[in-house]
Amino acid sequence: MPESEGELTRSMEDYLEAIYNLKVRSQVARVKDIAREMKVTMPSVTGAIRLLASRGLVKHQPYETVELTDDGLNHARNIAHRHSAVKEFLMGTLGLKEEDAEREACGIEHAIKPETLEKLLKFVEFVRHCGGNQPFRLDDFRYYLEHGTYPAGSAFEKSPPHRNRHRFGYEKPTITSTRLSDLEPGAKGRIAFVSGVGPVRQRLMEMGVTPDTLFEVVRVAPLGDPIEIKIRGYNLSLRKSEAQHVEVELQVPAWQDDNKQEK
Amino acid sequence: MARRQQAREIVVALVGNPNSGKTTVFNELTGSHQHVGNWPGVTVECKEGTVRRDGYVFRIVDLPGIYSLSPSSQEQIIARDFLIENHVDVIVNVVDAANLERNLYLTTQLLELGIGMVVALNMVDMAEKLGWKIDTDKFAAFLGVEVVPTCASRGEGIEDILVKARQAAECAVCDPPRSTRHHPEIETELAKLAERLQLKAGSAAFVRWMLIKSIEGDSAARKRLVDCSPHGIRALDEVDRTRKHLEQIFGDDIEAVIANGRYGFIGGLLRETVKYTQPINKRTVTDRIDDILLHRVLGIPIFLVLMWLTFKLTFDVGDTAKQWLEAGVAALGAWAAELLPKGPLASLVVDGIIAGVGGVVVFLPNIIVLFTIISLLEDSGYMARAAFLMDRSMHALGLHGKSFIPMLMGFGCNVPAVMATRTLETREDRLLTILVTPLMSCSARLPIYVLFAGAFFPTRGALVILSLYVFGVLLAAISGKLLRKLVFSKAASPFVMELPPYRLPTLKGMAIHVWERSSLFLTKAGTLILAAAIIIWALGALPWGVELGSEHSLVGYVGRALQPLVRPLGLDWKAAVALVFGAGAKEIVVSTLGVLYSTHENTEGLSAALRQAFTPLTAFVFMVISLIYIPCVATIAAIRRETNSWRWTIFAIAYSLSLAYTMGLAIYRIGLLLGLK
Repeated sequence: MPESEGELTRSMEDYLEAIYNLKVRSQVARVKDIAREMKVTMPSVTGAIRLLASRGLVKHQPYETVELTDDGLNHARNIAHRHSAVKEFLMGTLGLKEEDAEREACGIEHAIKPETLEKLLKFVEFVRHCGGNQPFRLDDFRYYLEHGTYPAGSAFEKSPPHRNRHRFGYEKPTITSTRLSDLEPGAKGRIAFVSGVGPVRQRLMEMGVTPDTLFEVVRVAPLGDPIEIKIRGYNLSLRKSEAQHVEVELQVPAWQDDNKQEK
Repeated sequence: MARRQQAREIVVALVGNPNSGKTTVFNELTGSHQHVGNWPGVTVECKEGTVRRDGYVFRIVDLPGIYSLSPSSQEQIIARDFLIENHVDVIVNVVDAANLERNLYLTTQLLELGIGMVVALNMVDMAEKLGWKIDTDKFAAFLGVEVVPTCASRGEGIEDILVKARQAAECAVCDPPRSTRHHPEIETELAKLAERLQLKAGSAAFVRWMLIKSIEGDSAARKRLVDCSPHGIRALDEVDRTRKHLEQIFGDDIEAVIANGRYGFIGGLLRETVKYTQPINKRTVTDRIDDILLHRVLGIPIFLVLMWLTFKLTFDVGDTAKQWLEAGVAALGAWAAELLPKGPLASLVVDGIIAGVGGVVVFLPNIIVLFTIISLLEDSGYMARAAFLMDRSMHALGLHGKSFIPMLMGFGCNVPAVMATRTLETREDRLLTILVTPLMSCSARLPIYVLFAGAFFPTRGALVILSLYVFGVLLAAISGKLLRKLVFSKAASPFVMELPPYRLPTLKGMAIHVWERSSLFLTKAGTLILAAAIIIWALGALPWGVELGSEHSLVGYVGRALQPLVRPLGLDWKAAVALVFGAGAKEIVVSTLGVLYSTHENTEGLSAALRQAFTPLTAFVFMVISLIYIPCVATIAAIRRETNSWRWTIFAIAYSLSLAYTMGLAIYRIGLLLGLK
């Protein structure tokens, strides 16, 4: 396992990921929450936190919540994205059940090199584009790996392109770990991508749910569905089945200036 | 002899988001000079009105509230088609000043059409309260059109709209509004396309609009493009090639790119013209009210209380007024009976026409009260919250959150309930709810249950009646799911819905709304009900001389003819006759039975007679059938009015008839098998 300066141990990565997930779900990461999440004792957590703090990845005062630094947030995001990409592969492509996929993803994500992961990510996207049931040629995939586009005449010429965006300088990971439907009231963030096809997608975009738009989750209906979000200055409600199509990036608090107006 | 001056007509299309106050603007502009119809072939309503000013006649068409001109909903298709197919002199775009970003999305698309335009910046008072200062002149300069600040609920700015609209209409040709600029890459491609395709259409702006929409995949625009280009259908290949090229460049599909472009333009506009003196995400009054009304624990109970209130008001207040009306009609009938010599004419007038008219008018109190309440709920913004609360349970039944209210009202009377489905936004949701609502056991069926339950289940009467209600609800739930899968299998339309800020409704708006609904009911439904009443009277009164509704009348023959049909259900021809009359109005079933068994008003006697003719099992079958079999004529008329289609009305009738028959048969046969009697 990588041990040199600048590289994180597997255990540290797990902690960062746990803290990130806690913040995604409920915005609060205290030592005891982390302990519960990782199924370890609180002293273990305290020790790990101290280590992470010494690397400048978290900030923690005794008896207060644990916060990720900018650096820590970046790392955590990458780790979480890796995790969900691997999980997507196991579930979406290999057909594993969620619990199994979750467990195995935890193991795999630490074992593979970043380059390998990148290829795995691309493969997952490639399969996504097939729409699940179209036959595809591995050669098309290899071509794509090398050139970044699909060969002319392949079945994919007609499908919507990848969200690479390197042309305009965005360096966003192609799969985010969070969907709008997973969030709790109070979560704030930025829309990353709106997937899906047809009327739902069009309707979402018409109502202002477009990439890079800021939003905040206001509440969930008493029966659990639909949810209400504040976006572009007004309140919008949508079913979780519709919110599923919206991939988001969370703004974990204390690193986003709440009063900075994106207008 | 004075020469009559020919007033010049200006066609105005009123366009804007739902909840932008567009309807209030329309009401202020046209007052009572408006009339409501249906867009041909669909359930969406079409409102038109006229205003006369300075020798001009403004013909104002209120298009449905829409968020965009893309064809993602029927309302949007209608609006788009109207704007490009018809001759429109000027567009008045009503924009909610307190909600600019999203409202302007539609504005940017309207600008692209190249039609003369005026923006009515509505609810400026709200914007001010939120601490926003809008520089109207800069705003207008940016957009290239006239902008009129208005506060429609107070009637401010309305005259200004007319003035500016006239100006815009007159010089639309000379000075088309400026279009939004998309990303330079897109603009270049558009220019290249335009040249290559050599399009011949109205204005340069319209050509541009066609190209943009064709690239986005709008089928109407594409069809127009094919018509306007000498290349014909091959023009579309060029369009698609451009689309692919653009998608490669941007790495995203074209709808997203263009949508972002529009919002980018809007962002720039707002940065230049609006100053925010208060933080953007300040909690508003609406937010605080919602914390209570949409509370995790309190939300639904509060809603149920409101629903109970609605129900009580509609049917208690409504019924008292109903009783007066019924008494009035009866008095009228009695007076007419005295006046006219005995004979066919008297019978026709009294038992046919007056009773028929009475049968129509008697629903008015309920309708008026219900629609006052609904209008209050909708205009204040609460209706959206109701849908939000109920959606999960309704959606599980294949319905929409907003289906709850019509279905609840169905327990009182199906007629206003069916009319209340108007609040549903999509055609599929509306149709499905209309089909399912009559299964809610209305109050007119109660006398039937009371009679039979009293006669056959004296100790457990209440339980039996309750079971019927529950059965109705279960059937509705199953029908909802079934019909959704089989008939409305097209993917359910999106729920994505705005929760508008709470507003105080205007009395004028509510009054106009209730008036519309009631007069529509009287004219459209009323004629049908009257016709049916006369037919039923004829069936009961002929051949001449028989006692009304007895076995010797035509209905009697019909009943006897139906006997073989109802035998398998354990029923006889008298039951069949009563059921036939029940199609007219469910209340009549009991009195018909009274006539048939010659006991008339004598309930004791009737119960005894029924015990001779029915068994507990067949009594139950009869009750179930009267629950399901056919909506009363008034409901059928309401269904016809709301669906605007005979096809669906007949489907509704056929569905309930077949469902009733199957259920009745099943219950009878299974009952026999189980050894019940």
